[in-house]
Amino acid sequence: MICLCSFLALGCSKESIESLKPEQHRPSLLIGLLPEQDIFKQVERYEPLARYLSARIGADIKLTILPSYEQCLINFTSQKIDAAFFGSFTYILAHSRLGVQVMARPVGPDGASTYHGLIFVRKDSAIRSIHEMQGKRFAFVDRGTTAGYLLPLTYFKKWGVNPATYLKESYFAGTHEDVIYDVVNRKADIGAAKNTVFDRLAAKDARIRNELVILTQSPEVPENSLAVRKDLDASVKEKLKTALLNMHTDPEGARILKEFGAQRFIETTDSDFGPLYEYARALGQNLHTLEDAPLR
Amino acid sequence: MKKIITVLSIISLLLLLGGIYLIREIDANTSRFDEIIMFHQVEILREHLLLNIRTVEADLYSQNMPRAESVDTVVKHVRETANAINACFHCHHSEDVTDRLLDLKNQFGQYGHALSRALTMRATAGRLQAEQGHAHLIGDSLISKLNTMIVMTSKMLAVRTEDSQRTVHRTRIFLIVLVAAGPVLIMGLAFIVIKGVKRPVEVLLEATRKLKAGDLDHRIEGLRDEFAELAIGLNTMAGSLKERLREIEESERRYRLLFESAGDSIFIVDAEGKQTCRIVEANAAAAKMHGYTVDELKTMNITDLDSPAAAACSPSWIERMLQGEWINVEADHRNRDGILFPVEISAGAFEFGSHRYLLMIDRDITERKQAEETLQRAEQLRMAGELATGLAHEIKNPLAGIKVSIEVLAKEPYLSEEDRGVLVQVIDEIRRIEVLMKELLNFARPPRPQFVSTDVNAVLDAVASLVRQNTAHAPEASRKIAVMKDFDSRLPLITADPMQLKQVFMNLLLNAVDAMPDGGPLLIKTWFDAAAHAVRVEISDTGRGIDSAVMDKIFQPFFTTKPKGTGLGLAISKRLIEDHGGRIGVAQNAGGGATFKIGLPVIQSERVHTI
Repeated sequence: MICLCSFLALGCSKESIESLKPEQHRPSLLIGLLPEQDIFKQVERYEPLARYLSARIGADIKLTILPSYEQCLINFTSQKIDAAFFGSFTYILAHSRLGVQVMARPVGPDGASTYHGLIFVRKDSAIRSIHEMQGKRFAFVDRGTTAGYLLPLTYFKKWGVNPATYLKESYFAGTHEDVIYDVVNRKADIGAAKNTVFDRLAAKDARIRNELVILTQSPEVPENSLAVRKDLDASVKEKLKTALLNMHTDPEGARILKEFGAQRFIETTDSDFGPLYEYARALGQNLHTLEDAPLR
Repeated sequence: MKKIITVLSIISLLLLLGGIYLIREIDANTSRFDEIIMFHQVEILREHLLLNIRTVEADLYSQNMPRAESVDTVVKHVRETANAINACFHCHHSEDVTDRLLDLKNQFGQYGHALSRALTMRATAGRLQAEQGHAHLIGDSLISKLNTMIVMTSKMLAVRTEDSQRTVHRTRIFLIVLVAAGPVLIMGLAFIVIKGVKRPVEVLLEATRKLKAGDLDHRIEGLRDEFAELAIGLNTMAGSLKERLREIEESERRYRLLFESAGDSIFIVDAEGKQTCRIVEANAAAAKMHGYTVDELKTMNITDLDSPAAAACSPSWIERMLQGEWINVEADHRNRDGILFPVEISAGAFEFGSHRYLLMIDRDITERKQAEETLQRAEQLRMAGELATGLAHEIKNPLAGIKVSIEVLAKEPYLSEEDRGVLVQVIDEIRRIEVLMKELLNFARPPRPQFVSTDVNAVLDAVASLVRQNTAHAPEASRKIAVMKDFDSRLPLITADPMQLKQVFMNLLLNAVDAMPDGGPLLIKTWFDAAAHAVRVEISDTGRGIDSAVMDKIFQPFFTTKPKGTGLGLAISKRLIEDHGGRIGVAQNAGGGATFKIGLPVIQSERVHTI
């Protein structure tokens, strides 16, 4: 249909045809993406990177959206996904359950390769501490996120509060962006999201700094990292790793990195997630049997 | 010419304008059709877009169904839709449409966001429903807007299509009119141009033919514009030509007159090539001088007129002339009758039209030659006379002495009759010497003629009687001579010396008698030649005639055919007649014998009249 459209539009969008044309006779590699932001924007953000890597490693890399963090692990197996850019908490879950091997993560333009979670409210709300949160609406991101779930749970536990009863309503908005905007747009009273998304949106939308106030933040955890399934061909694994780690030395790669919003990729190992394992354990989360929290 | 240029310019301009109009119309129609095609494409694109959005909408609806499409498919659909919308911006649109498209794009962005939320959110049913409802609302609005746009496009398409069809129809009619009227128009204009040119050209052609035929008085009239200028030019040319021709003719006539009326022969002769010596031109004097017509002369060579001696010389003369020399020579020419006459030739070469000719001016110098001969003879006579006078004078006295002595001696009685006879013979011979002396003196110093009014017939009568008496005691045969007189009774009296005339006539008659030893008729004829105002006398004998070899010598002194003649008779006669201003000649008679012809002027006017 797109092809037909393109022809009728007299070459209006040839690039789209090229990009969607399947590359044949090459091994394919399926990489999953988490709904860090609007899923369509998320695909757009990772596509250049995928094309670059396809060319470098000589494989046909395809991207697939994992609609929820919690579905991620299920889909990873069911869709036969080869690798995924996991959020930190999702990674430790996946590592624990599926044995995925972390490989690399991006370093942001400010030099940070880690992030932390934030809990925020509107400035004009009366909420400034746990006490005012009773009977309010809380927007989480997803059960599999550090910033959007692990942090608020830790926060509630610290204050000895059961969110299921203490709050009037809690829900998973699905993306960090949606959580932030739900609070801005008064769809929720309190939100939890990661600081990198918060900062990125704040740079474009002044309301976020002007109208929101941060109440607390989590410890630093590694940025979304690329992890591959444990049984992935070692050579492919090596090629993928080399390509990512050397990307910044290649002009084309540097350009794509800049567009992507990173300086470079750095090598990442499971040990980098040590503090997060501790954090999760402190919360009493059993990574192997993480249960769905009830929604109200 | 101006008219033609104007007409041609108009035709060219009309054709150019028609062509430009056609090209513009075709161009405009093509753009219109392009536009219509584009509208169709837009329509298709928008419908395609609608289809995309509907697909996305369907994805959303089916999200909670068992057969829900995977998230990747939804992402694919949404991105296709976004691409389809972006594709719309590649085309040119009016500001209004661009605004609508921007609105559409913006709203689709919102729709995508709402969709994303609906797909990723985990919340209570109410919240989820609200989010989905919100997404549906945006989707419906999108579809509605898109439908509006599609309707708009369709309407505009209809209007444009109809408009284009009308224009095409109009263009077609114009084209048909142009194709039909164009040739008619061009033919009409061409007819006008040809008509405008044909008549003047015919007039000019006619005039040219007439001029060619020599009608230089013909004038062209009634033409206009450039043709009029051409006509004036031709008329002026004809006038100048006529004037020039007149001048040439006049000049030619002048030279022709000079040529024709010249007293001398003028020849123009070819000097080189095969026709060398051919007479190219000759004047009337030449014709008359040589006894031919001019046309006959033109068929002859100049050497045909030369005497053998002159013909031998002519190559060297021609050679000299061709080297640039102007020659002056004397030569003999031969007339039609074969008679030679002396001419003085003045000739030279000239070049005419890169061909060389000879110009020859011949003058008949017969009279001059005769005059020279006469003068020469007179000189001879004068010398002979002086010699004779001197001699006679010296001889006379001794001869008289001898004669007296012989006469005395002859009277001596003792002489025998035989001796006396010898002396008498001596005396006779002495007397003959005396007569000779006397005639010689007479010839050398003739007495001046005593002119009186004289009747020539009467003088002849007297001489004829004397001759008859003289021949009465002559031999038998002489008496048989019959003198026949054919006198013109109306003969005028002439001024002459009758005694000298008598001496001349006597001499001639006695010669005639001597020439007819067997007798025969002797005719004496006189008549008046009114043209020459002269009296003619002819004395014809029927004797032996005169040898042609001696014909031109008989009037020379001391020339005689008689055994005892002095050879002075005819010489004296000729001298006496010439002293009268007359002429004497002799001619052979056709039937034998000779005729002496004498012409005497009626009036002696100090010898101006030479007959």
